[in-house]
Parts: sequence; structure tokens; C-alpha cells
Amino acid sequence: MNKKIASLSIACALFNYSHQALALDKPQSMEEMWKIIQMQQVQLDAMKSSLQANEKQAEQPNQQEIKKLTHKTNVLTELMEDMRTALVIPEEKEYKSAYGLGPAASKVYQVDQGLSIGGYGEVNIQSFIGDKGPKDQNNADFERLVVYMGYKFTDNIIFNSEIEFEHASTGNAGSVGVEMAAIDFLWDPMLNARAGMLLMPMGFVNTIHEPPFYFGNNRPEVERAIIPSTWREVGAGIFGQITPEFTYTAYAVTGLDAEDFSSKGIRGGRQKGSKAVNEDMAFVGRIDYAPEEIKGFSVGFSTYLGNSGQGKVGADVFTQLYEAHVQWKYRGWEFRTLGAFGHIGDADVLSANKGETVGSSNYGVYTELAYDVMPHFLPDSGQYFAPFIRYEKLDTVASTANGLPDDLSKEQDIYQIGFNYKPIPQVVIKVDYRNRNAKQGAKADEFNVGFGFIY
Amino acid sequence: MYKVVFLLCCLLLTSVCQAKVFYSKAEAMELAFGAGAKVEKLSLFPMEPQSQKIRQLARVNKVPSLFTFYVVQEQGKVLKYAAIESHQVRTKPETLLVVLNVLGELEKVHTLAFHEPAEYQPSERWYAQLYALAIEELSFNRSVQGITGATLSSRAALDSVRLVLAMYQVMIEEK
Repeated sequence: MNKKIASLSIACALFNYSHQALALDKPQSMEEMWKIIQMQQVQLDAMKSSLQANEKQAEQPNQQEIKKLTHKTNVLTELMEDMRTALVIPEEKEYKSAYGLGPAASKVYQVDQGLSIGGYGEVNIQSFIGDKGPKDQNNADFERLVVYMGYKFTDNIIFNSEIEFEHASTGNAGSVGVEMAAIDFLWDPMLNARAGMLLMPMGFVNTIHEPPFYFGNNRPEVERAIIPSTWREVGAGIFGQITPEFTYTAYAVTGLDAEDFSSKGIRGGRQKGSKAVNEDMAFVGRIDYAPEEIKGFSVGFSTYLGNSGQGKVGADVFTQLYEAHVQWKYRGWEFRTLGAFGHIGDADVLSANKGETVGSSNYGVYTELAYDVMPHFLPDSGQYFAPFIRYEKLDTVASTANGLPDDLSKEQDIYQIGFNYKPIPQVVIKVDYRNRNAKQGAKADEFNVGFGFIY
Repeated sequence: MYKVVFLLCCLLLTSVCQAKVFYSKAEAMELAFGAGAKVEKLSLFPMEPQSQKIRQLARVNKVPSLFTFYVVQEQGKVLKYAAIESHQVRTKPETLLVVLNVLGELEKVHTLAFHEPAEYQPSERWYAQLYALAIEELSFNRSVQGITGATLSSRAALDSVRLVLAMYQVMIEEK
């Protein structure tokens, strides 16, 4: 801007000067003309140098200012970067060692996590659209609202809990319960311990049952009726990884209570750590294998063994449940299959006590396949849209003791189709249709819409 | 009774510690560049058009307005780039060291700190599948396979790696 003004001034000055010179007296010869030009040149040079000096004067403070500002920015940037990293990791090795020993050092570096809160929830709207029975009413249900609370006493002793509000209100059909509350003692990746209210490490859903991580509004029926998720009992045990490929979990827990077994299976026998009778204990163990060679693939099995009589039914009721599962995630495809088989000892005694056939064995299998199509439509969005199909077969009265009559209504085939849409990884919108068929009697088909979230 | 004995054993053995902060910053620099290397900071300030490009490339919602690469130079030429990237996994943070080679390809990822439960932490061998992959291949629908039971942490880690690569491509490679 300054330069423009200066150039304009020079032009005006030159014009005025030549105009005046011409007006006073015209040059009489080439020599006079040359003198005038030389004079003009001298004056022009003088004006130019004066202008340059002015410009230099004007620029000098700016450059100094810029230098100062650059220096300040560099210092602040360095400080900012140091502070940013110091919030998450210590600067020096010595301090890291100190961090491992106690909370004081961690507070210095502000990485003490202490109390943490998380949770999840899910809401479903269920409409019955076929084979509707008198009890099948369309409904809307805030099925679960769960609060996770954890506290890190030290880096190695950590408390985790899951408190669930089910069906929105205890005034109606709802309940409030502790689903999980355990202290972890972390020693080594190979060997750690856990004690408290434990989730039985069986199947996919019992341990990981947050809505974004399974398909459909309802959990797979096999993981409800045969593996009675959410299945939790009081106990203690160990967990860890034998190698990076093998992980294991083994717990000793309070046994099931066979008094509440029924033709629907063992689900009613969960004691849920609520004044649980502990006359009989049980063992539950699980091993998973995720081979290095096949990324995204894992296979595993689990076992539950223990008496369930609890001194209440006049028999031991040795209860066994075996489960195997395979999962593979590959290039947007997600495949899961699971099979579970259970055996209930003294089922004849239980059936006589109950007045209905309690199956001496039960089983369930399901398989599902999904594919995330979103990268084909909105590759940069980071969103997820996966249509899925699932097939389930289960029977809670697969065999009976001493020729007791079978309950064929408990043998079911379920076909399910739908999709999970996640605008962000923590929020899911679900739509699905379930076609349920029993060997005897009608089972209503459902259309379900819902959403879930975790935080 | 054996439960009580078992718990007592647990308590006695807890003195054998395993920290959740695995490496200090000094150690992280050693991991990236080797011992004794002269590490310099390269601070980047993405402007809005660049941020937009980074967002698009990395497929993330947020791009920091200040980003620092740690570099080692030889005769004025950068030999390696490293970034310390922190992000929330679920409710707790994770800090990664992401190392790029001279060509800006992903060379190594180390977990510096992980505050979620240990079972959700992606393993080193899971990170190994990401090495040298192009940024567009860093997706569960392309060349990366997920982890059962650690969906959020593997997704967050993948976002982080893509962000570092995108930052390099837009702020350094394109200049």
C-alpha cells in the first residue's frame, strides 16, 4: 500500500516538474535538453533513495516483530507439546518406574484415572406380525439402562461394576440389579485374578452384551435359553493369556439353584448373587484361540460343571453345559456360529417336584452372517451399515428322564433378518424381523426396531 | 474356605506390578529412533483447507490444530518420523507411538499407555498387519481384520494411525 502511494507521488512530482520546466522556457538545443534530463535524473534518484530509506524504516520494526512472534510461537508450541504428552505419559524413565509403584507420581503426571463411569442402554419397539397369541402385545420397552462404574485403586488392583436398570421402572415389570461387580488383580498377562460378582465366561453375548456388538434387537435366543445370559454368580478365579494366541478364564462360583429349573431350561436357576445359596459350587472355564496366521479369526469353547441341588430338591442335580464358538471378521464380513449342549442330572426328580417336564438335556445352535456395506457407498464417512441373517435352532427339552413326555413347544427354529446401522461406533440403530417356529404350537413372528448406545 | 485362601494369595501377589503406562516419552523416542539419536520437533499447524483434506483422508471427525512430529535428520534430510497420538477408547485414553519411515509409510506402532481394561488392548501382532499399508487399506473392510471383543479399541487405534498418515501426506509430502 505504502509502495503504491509512493510511486504515485513520484509520478505526480515528475509530471509537475516537467510541466513547469516546459512552461518557463523551452530548451533551445539538444545540450540544454540533455541538461534538463540529467537534472531530472538527479532529482529522481534523490527521491528514490529517500523513498527507499522510508520503506526500510517502515519495514525494520515489522521484521523484528515477526522474529519476536516466531520465537514466541516456537516456545509456546514446544511447551504445549511437552504439556500435551506429559498428560498421558511421563517424560523420563525414572518417573515411569515411580508411577508403577503408587498413585503419587501418577498424580504428578495427571494420568491417575481413579473413578471411571461408563454405560450402555437399549430401547426396542416390538410388533407381532404373525401367529400372534393372546399374550403377544405390541410393546415399546426401555429394556436396559446400565451404568458402569470402575475404580482404579492402583495400576494392578481395579474394581469394575455394572448396575442395570431393566424395563425402566420397578413399579411395573422392571428391576434393578448388579450384573457384575468384581475386583481384578493384574499381575502378569499370563496370570491375573478376579473376584466378586462374575459374568460366566460362556458364549459371545454373556460377557460382551452391549448393543453395538451384537446383531438384532434381541440377543440370540440360544444365548438366552441355553446359555442363560446375562448369567452372573459370585465367585473367584483366574484369567490371562498362555501365549498371545491362547487366552483362558477359570472361575469357581456359586452353583445354580435347580429348584427353579423348568421346561424352559436352567435360566430360572441363576442365583445372581442375591443371597445365593452356596451349598453347591460350580466350575466354569473357557479357552479361546486366535491364530496369528488368520487375522480376525477366533475359536473357543467353555464348560460349566457343578451340582445345582443346593440341598433344596432332594438330589445333587449335577449340571453340565458345554459350548463352542467360532468367529471370523474378514474385509467387512462378520461371521459367528455357536453351539451349546447341556445336561441336567436328576431331571426326573425335578420334573416330579415341578409338575412339568424338566429336560434332562438341552441344546442350541446358531449361525449368523453380516456384511458392512457402508464403505461401498460412503467410504469416507466412518459409518457402519451391516445387513445380517441369522438362523437358530434350540430345544430346552431335548431329552427327558424315565420316559417323561417331551414338550415339543420348546423345540424351535428361528430365522432372522435385519440390519445394524452405526452413525458412530458408539450408537446403533437396529431393525430386524424374527420368524419363530415351534414344533408344536404357534410362536409369534416379530418386527423389531430399536436403538442402543454405549459411552 | 479355599476361596478365602485364594483371595489372600491374590492380595499377597499384587506387589508384582504391571503398569498401564508402558513407556516414558524418553523411552518412546528410543523405540522410534534408537538410543542417542538427536530428536527434533516438527510442529505443524493445519489450516482449514488442510484440515478438511486430513479429515477426509483419515476418515476422522476431528483434526488437531497443532500436531507434532518427532524427527531425526541427517544432512538436512529427515530419516524417520514419529508421533505420539492420544485418544479416548471408550471412557479412558490410550496413547500410541506411530512411527513412519522416510517414505512416510507406517513402520511401527507401540502402545505407550493404555487405561482401558487390559483385555481390550490390541496386541503387537494385530498392529503388525497395518505396517506399510496404504492409508485407504487401513479399514476393516479392506486389509485390516478386527479383534473379537475389542472393537472400539481397534477402531480407535486404526483412526489414530490413519490420522498420523494423513497428517504426513497433507502437511509434509504435499509441500
